[in-house]
Amino acid sequence: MAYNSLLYLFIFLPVVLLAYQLAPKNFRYKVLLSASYVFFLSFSGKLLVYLLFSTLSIHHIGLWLTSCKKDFLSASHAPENKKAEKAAYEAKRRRILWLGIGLQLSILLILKYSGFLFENFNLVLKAISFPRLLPAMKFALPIGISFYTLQAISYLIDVYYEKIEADDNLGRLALYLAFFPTLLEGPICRYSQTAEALCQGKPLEYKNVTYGLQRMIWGLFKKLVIADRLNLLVETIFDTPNHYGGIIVIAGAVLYTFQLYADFSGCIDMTIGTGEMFGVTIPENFRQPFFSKTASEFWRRWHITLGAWLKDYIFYPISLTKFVKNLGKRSRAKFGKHFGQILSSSVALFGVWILNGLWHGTGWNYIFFGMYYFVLILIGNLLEPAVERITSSLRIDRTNSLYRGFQTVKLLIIVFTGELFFRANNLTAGMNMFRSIFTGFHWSAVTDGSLLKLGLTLPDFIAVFFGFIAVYTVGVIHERGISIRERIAGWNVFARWSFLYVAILLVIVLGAYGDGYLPAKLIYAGF
Amino acid sequence: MKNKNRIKSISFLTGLFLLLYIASYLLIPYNNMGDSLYKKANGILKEPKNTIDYVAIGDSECSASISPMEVWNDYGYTGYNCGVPSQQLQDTYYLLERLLKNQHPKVVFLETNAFYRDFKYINTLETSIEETVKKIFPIYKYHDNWKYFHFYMLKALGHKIKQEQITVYKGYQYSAIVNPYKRGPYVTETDDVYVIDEQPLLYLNKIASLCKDKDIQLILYSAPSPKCWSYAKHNAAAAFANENQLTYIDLNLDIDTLGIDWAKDSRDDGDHLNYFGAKKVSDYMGNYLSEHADLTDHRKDDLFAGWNKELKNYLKLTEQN
Repeated sequence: MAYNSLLYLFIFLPVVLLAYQLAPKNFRYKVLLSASYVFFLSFSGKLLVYLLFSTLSIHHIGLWLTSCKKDFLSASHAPENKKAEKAAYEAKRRRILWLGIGLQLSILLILKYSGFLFENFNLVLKAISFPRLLPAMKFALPIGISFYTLQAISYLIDVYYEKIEADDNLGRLALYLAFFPTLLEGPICRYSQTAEALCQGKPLEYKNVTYGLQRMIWGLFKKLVIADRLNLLVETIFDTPNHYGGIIVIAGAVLYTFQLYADFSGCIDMTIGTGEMFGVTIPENFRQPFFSKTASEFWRRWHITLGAWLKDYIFYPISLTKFVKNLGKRSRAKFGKHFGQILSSSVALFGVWILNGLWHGTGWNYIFFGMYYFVLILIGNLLEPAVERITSSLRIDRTNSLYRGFQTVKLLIIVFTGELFFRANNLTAGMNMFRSIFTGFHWSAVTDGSLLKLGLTLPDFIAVFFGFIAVYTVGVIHERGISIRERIAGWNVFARWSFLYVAILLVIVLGAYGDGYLPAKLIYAGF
Repeated sequence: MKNKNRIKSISFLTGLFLLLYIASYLLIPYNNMGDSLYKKANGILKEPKNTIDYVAIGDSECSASISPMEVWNDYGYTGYNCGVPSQQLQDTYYLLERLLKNQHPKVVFLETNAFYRDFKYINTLETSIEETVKKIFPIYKYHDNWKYFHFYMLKALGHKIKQEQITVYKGYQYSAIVNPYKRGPYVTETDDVYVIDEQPLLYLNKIASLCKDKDIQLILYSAPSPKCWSYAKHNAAAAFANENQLTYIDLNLDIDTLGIDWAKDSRDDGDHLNYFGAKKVSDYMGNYLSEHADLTDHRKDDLFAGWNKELKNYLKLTEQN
């Protein structure tokens, strides 16, 4: 029951909206929770037990952290023992926190990563001719585990640092983890962002419902018209990589990048739109990433909630460890302020990117993907003063459109290359495809019709091009801070309805679904 | 919601339904508009009534392994390949049920790979919703026809839709790409039996009883595929065939007789056959039909002249190899 399925759009969602509206105020969050579990069950069945375990464990550990603090504050402390007792109390809280994090991570590690770890461990055992190998491990993954585990960990850490209070309402916490629009592809919400709104039981409002629907139509357009149509070509190239080289592989990397963006951001639009209908503001996950100037800016605009999570719960904690602080001091003294700072922060940056790669999947190509960005961002940071010196000595205006154009082209090459490895079946296939760009390069591929033999016909390309233009135009308008929906709301009813009718018709007519199309999965739901 | 908003919502939806209904008429096909207009499998619904001798059905292993034009060329039997990539047995059942309203084949070849593709009750619900929406708003079914839209189609509005035969090489998924399978022999005998899940088994039984009711010989077959096939799967299909007194042809155990050369006959590293592999399987199946089924050679029958015409196009396509 994906967000773009008829079952979700015309049965599940309307029924939940109706039940929500008819339910008494205090019962509404229970409607959402029940719907979320039905949604979960439709994908993962009895694997619901893992989600329930995560919910119960963070509920219990959150309350334990709070009661631990209450006990400490209510106890009387002799002045001479206060320091030692405080240290013991803090150590206990830390242990509780690590227990909570450990429980969440151990489920994720076992279910998602054990197969990969055992497989690689067996390669080592084989290499040293060890007589016995570990058994092959493969577990069924509950839907959304990579997303809700990060939400569960962020909840525990926020409770530990007292950014939020531990929630004694199990239902609210359960809904925070399992809210159905965010289950498949996130975004990774913080407890402080959504939990309260989810449970306030606000009645449906006409404006919220219509705005939510409009956002969903836009998401469906991106998913069905662009992503699913490109899927035909992308699958052909990446599933039989040995057949292609040069321009075809470049086209594969470029079009996969756009497919991924249209698929993921389209799904997020549907998620945010659904939340909006219930009066819940779900955080944005994209902010026109292709308008970025550098790789690090790109990642602040692409999958924003993952980047923010890694920054808050990986980058900062590592940066604040004694080891990194000492390293910073020593390296600043030895290499100067700029390089010293970059060197010490690179430890935390490494942690962020290796986890970013691993979070996406269990393959060496994902680790390579993370390291690729780590190296590029590190080099970018190291070279920044030199670039500044060179551009100012050459009197190049870094704000002029030519330089901006150069930055955009550079960024696009970086992103397309990264996505080539990300999408490749494995690291070796990725390397081979990358090599084949140079070894199999022939301009004739553009003119001899090769591109039209990969699953997309000329009308398909026209539809995709039309989709790009629409996405680009909307991006430019959003970049200028203009709310399109507010503008549309200001039009007269004839213009407004005509616009919406055309939008819906375009999705239905130009969408790549039904006979002749392979059902295209939501890409990030697989992570 | 206030009354005013309710009226607005109802008016908007009424307008939308009307629009979708009208737009449907612009995209419903009224004639033959090109090779890939109806993607393969559904093309059988356009074949003249009771003209198909045998049907092959299943997932992509099916659509890539039997080319009805080859069988026609060598034996004169009319067949249709209704294989669809990733087809689930529930879809197989519904497609079979639909096509049997217009055709009465003597033999149905059911490829076994879909037996091992589990699906859930929710997929059944999703399929039935989709079928209903297609009936109410044909635009949902025919939306892809915008690619072939021409203003002359407007003239067809209000006219009876012509159901003309279309050319899709009778459903065969043609591919001449060669991507060899290099990992050596893959048939390792075992007593293990793959467990066919509840839902696929349910529809497998339904397909078997549908064929029985219609007096059609159901033959299970496994296309050569080192990537998808295993001995445990063979055992599961053989057990089902045995229980239901069906014939099971496992071509994976007969690779040498077929003459499959994995260096040349796969399009994707041993997952699917390419044209060269399909030619061998088609010859095998044609020969099987000639020996075991009571079918008539229609090559000289004027009623089937269209097949010879299509054969010319097919040979033009394949002779380039």
